Amino acid sequence: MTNNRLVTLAAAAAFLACPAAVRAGGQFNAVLIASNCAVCHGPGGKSAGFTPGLDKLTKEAIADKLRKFRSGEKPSTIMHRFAKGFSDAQIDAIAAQLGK
Amino acid sequence: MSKHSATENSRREFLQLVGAAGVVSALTLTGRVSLAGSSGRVVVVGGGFGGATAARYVKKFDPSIDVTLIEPNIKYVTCPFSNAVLGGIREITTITHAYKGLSKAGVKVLHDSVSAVDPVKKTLVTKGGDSIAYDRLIMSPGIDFRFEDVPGYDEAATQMVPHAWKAGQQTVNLRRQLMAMDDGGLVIIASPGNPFRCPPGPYERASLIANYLKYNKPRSKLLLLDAKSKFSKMPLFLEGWAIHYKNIEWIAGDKGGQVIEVDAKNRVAITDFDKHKAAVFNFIPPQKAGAIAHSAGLTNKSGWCPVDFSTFESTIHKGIHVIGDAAIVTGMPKSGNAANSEAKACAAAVVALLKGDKPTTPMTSNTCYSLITPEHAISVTAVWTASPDGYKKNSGGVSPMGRDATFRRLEATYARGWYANISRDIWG
Repeated sequence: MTNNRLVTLAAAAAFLACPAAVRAGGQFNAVLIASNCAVCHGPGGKSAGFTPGLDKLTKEAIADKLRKFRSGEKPSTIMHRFAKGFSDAQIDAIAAQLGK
Repeated sequence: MSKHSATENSRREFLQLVGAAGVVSALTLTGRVSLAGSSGRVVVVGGGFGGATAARYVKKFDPSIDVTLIEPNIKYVTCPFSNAVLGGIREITTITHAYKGLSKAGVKVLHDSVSAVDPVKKTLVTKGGDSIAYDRLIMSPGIDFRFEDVPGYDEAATQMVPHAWKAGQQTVNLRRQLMAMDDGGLVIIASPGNPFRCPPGPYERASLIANYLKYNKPRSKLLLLDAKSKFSKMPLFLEGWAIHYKNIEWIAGDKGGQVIEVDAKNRVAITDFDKHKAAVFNFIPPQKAGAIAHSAGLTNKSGWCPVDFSTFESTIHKGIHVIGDAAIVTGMPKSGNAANSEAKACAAAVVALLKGDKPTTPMTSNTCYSLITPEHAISVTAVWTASPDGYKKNSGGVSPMGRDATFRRLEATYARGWYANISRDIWG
């Protein structure tokens, strides 16, 4: 097996393990956007307390909450101010990063 | 792309994916990753909100990169929540962080300071005598003070009249002075003109010191002398002060509030119109980028560092990125959270550039809470997208006016959550 083929196979394996948003690679970096959630919700969504953790939520639940914060259907202190900054595609990509 | 062979393209794609997915550890057993080449050497200068985040996230986004963090202090004391220490509602140990977490994350932590940078040879020299080569350098040097702009205020004067605008010994000094002061003594805080580190900081500080005075020195007053006539979250602060404090007097810049000279020995603040004698005088000086940014030639006439908004690469020296308070990031404030978000965007860009990829357009965000009392907090937030002119706000804003105590208490709870979690995100 040549190095080239090995690397290609490894790349394929990594590709499958890799979040869709990174593969898309185009307009926005979902890994980067979602990394900003850690400042309030904790690294990996595991909160140290006071602020809700995200690690037990499914990606569907996170996307749903973000949409409801954005529309104002779900009341919040600050989350509506954030959610309004994201498109549907960004919300889904963030949720895919953070959700189970 | 055309100049790369198919092999190189595959290799680059592989590294990009491996880096992003963080699955490198399983694949290093083949030895092929190292054959594909370590992605490079990144050196980060400064272990605060910007630098420590950048070091951690470069490593996180691409574990094959060799990351070294250079920071002189063994432990870092945060400015966020240092006003709570001044107000006696937190101990300084709770805002002090070591670097073990970064070492565990694979970052080489070197406790030293940088004495010179050579952007052409891509090397730097430390005071300890090490010469360190880098492929990309990330500088997060924070602020220094424009002592040259204020007659009577210099490094020596900071012991008598602390700035406490870099947390640590200065915070302890100011807290001790407040505790030692007789009831009835006047506390003066002087707030600088824009731009400066943490725009709502002087007003949170006034609030939490006023809170301490209210319960411990009820005959004392706090005089807030300001170079500005408007400030961050102003209506919310004024609303909170009207509810909680009769002991704060704010003099705006257009009413003669700017302190133009300091008599440190006598703790006197001199404005165009008046001399105010304090029992405790906290002078927050005008600011500029940290000293190493100046000596490395990264600053422009403003005293701050111009950068490309997508990558945070210096527009003066290629290969050097500047983040945090020292950088000119149009549209974003100089805050710890902004530095953390800039650092992540910069880390993603550095990882991409080292692979020869085009960085994505970054989105950043900021959450900044201010405590008016331990149970009454207000916030400002924003989400931004980078553009060639600076960071354009997608959304954001401040807490609503006129909300009840329950709402303010909830924000105070979330403020504590923010501190606990951002600290773990950076130093944990």
